[in-house]
Amino acid sequence: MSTVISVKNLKKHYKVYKKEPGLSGSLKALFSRTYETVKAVDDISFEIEQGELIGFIGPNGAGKTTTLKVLSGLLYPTSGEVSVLGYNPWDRKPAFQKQFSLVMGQKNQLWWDLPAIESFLLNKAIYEIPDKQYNDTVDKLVQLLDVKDVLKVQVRKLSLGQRMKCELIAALLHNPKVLFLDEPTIGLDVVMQKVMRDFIRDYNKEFGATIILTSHYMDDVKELCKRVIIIDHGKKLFDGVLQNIIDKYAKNKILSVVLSTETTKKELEKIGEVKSYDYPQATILVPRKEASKRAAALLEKFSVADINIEEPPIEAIIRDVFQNKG
Amino acid sequence: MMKISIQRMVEYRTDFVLWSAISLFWTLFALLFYDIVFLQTPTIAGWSKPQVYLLIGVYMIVDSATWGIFWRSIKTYVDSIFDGKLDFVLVQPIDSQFQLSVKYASFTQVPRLCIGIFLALKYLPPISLFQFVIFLFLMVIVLLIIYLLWFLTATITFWVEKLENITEIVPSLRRIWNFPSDVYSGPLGTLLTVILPLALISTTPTRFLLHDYAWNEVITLVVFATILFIITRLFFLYSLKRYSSVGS
Repeated sequence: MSTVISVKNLKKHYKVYKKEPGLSGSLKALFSRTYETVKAVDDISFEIEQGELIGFIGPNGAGKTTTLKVLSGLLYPTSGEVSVLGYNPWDRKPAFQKQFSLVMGQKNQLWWDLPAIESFLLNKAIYEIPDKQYNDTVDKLVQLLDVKDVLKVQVRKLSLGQRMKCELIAALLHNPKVLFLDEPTIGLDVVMQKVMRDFIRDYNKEFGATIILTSHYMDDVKELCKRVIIIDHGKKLFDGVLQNIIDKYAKNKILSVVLSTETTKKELEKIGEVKSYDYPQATILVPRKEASKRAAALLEKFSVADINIEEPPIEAIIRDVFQNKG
Repeated sequence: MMKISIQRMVEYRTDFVLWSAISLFWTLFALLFYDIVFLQTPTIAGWSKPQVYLLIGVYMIVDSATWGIFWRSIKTYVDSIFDGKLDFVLVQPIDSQFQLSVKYASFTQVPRLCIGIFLALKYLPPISLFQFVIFLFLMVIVLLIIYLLWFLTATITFWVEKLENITEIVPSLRRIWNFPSDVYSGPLGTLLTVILPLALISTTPTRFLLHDYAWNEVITLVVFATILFIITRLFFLYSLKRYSSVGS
């Protein structure tokens, strides 16, 4: 597999103006302003191979969208080297732009007051898509996403889910090799989220497209991405297989217990941190390395009907990573 | 994009009709002004009434074309820098400046354009094919100048992020070329006919229709348009580096 995306020591800093609150602050700002440098992306490096579907996660303001925008050529980097499909994105060469697509959740490129099909036709002209390819792609995507009935309705009259589906179609008409998806499922209901995930997975498999997905929904990441990059305050905290996050960052394991004989919470605390206790069920956190030993102690000291040793949910681990910064 | 603009226009028929009516009203009011002036004087800066009306016809053609093609696009361009919608323009494989300049062309100025053409034809003396070709060439040049000035001032928005009235600067300058350039004299005349030859925008094309071949003015306009084109293009490309988009 070849490297499609290469990012080396990327930095993107902004100068932002900080205003004091209130009217006096506004008046003062007329004459004198205080500026601060925000390091939206602060020296990150990574490489992505062809066909990978990467999850790019981090708390709000981490630098995920900024990174995607640099990769798309929208933002000029402060420093560092970026290469996508062998091109410098900032050059914004048409040959490069015809090979990638950027989809941003709840933001639309479709013409607001025209039916989606008109935007598709415009994109066909802009991307110079041959008639046959256009017709085949539209037919296939419309069928996959089940939007045949809404293509001729004004975009502004569509629901969010319908709009996002049409946005995806518009973004994929030219069969891009690289897809940047910035929170594509945000605001969608659970059914629509599943539809979008299935579609993204199928598209990645069928076309071998390289996809970077940012999302705050861990289900998106869990279902779609083997590899995850975690970013916070512009810095890369983790880059690897999703499972390795658990191995690296999960400090505890969870003992889920069903007791045969009632006991007190204080007694259970001798085993570990009691997260919840509502007889007969108890949830106890124990250090990872001592999980087996503590489980054995639990079985010895208490009357247990059932016990499970589980990994903490990935969401909790990620939350800990964000709060503790690894 | 022209097809898209027409389609958008007819989606909102009432809006189209209302704007067309408003532009017609402006035009008739402007003509009334000149009628009143010519009641008091037989000439304006040496230009007779038929000559002035020919110039007004040319002015209306230029004005309606620039308003129709560029106004809404330039306004949307400025807004898109502030609200981040410029993102979707910059990722597409089509020249960004071109797309930003013509994406929202409007046809509400068509009635005004028709009046301009009618006036020009009514007061047009017999002309040769050569004069007509030069006239067309000059019309392209002056349209280009107005567009470049408009785009250049709009690009300043990258540097200050929010500048809503920046798009009103060039429209407010239109009054300069609403009159024959001969009304300007002294240093002001030099400024508006040589350094910043805005006063020539309607006058020079009209002169050619009146058999007054002011080649020096043609050269001035062409040189000015060329310099302005280079400056506008370079400033736009340089300003893009300052674009910061908006958050997700």
